[in-house]
Amino acid sequence: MRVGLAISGAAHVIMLTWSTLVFPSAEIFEVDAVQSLPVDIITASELTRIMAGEEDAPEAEPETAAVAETVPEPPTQTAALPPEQTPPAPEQTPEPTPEVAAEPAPTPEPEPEPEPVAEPTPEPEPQRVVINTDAMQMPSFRPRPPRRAEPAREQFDADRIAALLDKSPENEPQRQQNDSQSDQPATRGQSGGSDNTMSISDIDLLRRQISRCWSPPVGVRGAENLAVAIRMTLRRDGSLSGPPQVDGGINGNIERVAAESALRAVRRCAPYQLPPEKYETWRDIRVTFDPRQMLGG
Amino acid sequence: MMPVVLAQTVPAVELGDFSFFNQFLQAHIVVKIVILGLLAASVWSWAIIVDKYLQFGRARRQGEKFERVFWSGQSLEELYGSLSHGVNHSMPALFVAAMREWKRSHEGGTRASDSVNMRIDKVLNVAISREMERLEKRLLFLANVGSIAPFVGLFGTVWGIMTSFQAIAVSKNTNLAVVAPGIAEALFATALGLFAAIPAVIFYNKFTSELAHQNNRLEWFADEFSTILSRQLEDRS
Repeated sequence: MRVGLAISGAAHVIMLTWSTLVFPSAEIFEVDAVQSLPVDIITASELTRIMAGEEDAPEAEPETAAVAETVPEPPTQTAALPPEQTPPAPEQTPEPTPEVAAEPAPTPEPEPEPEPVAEPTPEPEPQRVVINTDAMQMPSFRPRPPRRAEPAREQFDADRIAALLDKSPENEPQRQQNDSQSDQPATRGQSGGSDNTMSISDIDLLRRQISRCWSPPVGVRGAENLAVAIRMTLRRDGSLSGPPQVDGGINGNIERVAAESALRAVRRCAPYQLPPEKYETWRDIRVTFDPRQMLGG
Repeated sequence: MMPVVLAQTVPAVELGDFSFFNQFLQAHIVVKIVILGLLAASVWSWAIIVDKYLQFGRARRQGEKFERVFWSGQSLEELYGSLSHGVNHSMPALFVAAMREWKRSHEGGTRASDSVNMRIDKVLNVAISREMERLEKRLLFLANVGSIAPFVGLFGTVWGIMTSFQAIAVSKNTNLAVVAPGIAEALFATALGLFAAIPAVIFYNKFTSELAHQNNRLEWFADEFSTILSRQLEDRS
């Protein structure tokens, strides 16, 4: 038994040392470093509603900016351009002048402030008019406007916060709709953007490419109603496989002009870049040229 | 869009941190006990295996040599004379025990051959069982190790996995670096259990079959020898 124990013990010691020599440590598992990419999940409609911007467009907040500019220097403005500013004055005078005459306190100021929110065109005109007319009508009290403007500025600050709060959730889409429908000057985030509610990004892509080449019939009366449907067949590389055709009848010269402009646009932008894996969906496609949607910029 | 760099939490594992020895040192005390116990069981069972291997080999060789001498026509008295002074095992032990009994009854001058036969048979049976007992000794330990060591190893494994889950719960982190040490030590315990159990089972089976073989040979020899002795008794009477 002693022999067996000695042999066994020796064998175990040898084996343990051997194992520690052969497997000295676990080998470090080499894994390629995983690069983590931040991913924003957005829906297709969010993507298509992103609008191109124009850098030199005026600020989107007209009221506050205009006030800040005009308030510090009312006397020079009035001195320089009295005749130019008179035309708006008669229109607006009924509103501010009685109040100014009654008391020079700053109370009338907040009242015109909420108006831009309600009106579709948030222009700072009424405010500027108020100051100018006031200064024009009472040139003897020239020091007054600045004095009036100081308490007014404080109040403007408070109102500005309220206006911003009011504006952010509700009035923003309203204004966008207004801008895209009417012939407003380009603002930031508007030019060339097509704010359509289409969420299918492929159709939107095609629409965007076509609208770049399309000069819609602007000067025509009732141009908004000149919707023309064009049917086009495309090859896989995006070029036209046949001449585009007007879908539906044409009556009248104006409509013919609109159709011609649409056809021209389709031909001019001919190789379209569309996802080739979805070729079946845009092989034969019908595009409606609606000035109401494409006229944005 | 903020370029968020997710911190790659790489645990600071030093080289050589996961050798068997370090792993053992880092293990929980229960797992340590299990590992030590399994190591001891492995050492002891291998000691038994070596011992039994030598013992069975010796018994087989002695038996063959004795049978050759026994059936060579040599006188039984001479053979007894040459063997009776040493320590004998296996077949020579049977032979010596039976011859001693035969001689005693022969020298006593008893005539009753039946009782002498009976006594010789009994002496042979006792010698066989003593021999079997000697060969069987400690084989039970091999059987125990073979059947229990996996369970003991499994106990260590369960304990190690328990600790790793506790580590998860405490650190509130499912990182593999938190879980891995516990699992590694746990698997180490199972490995040791199997390491001890597998040879134990293999050699236990081998030795039991050899034991049966040895038992058969002793039985055959005892039967043959008692036949020879009883014939001698009848011839003499």
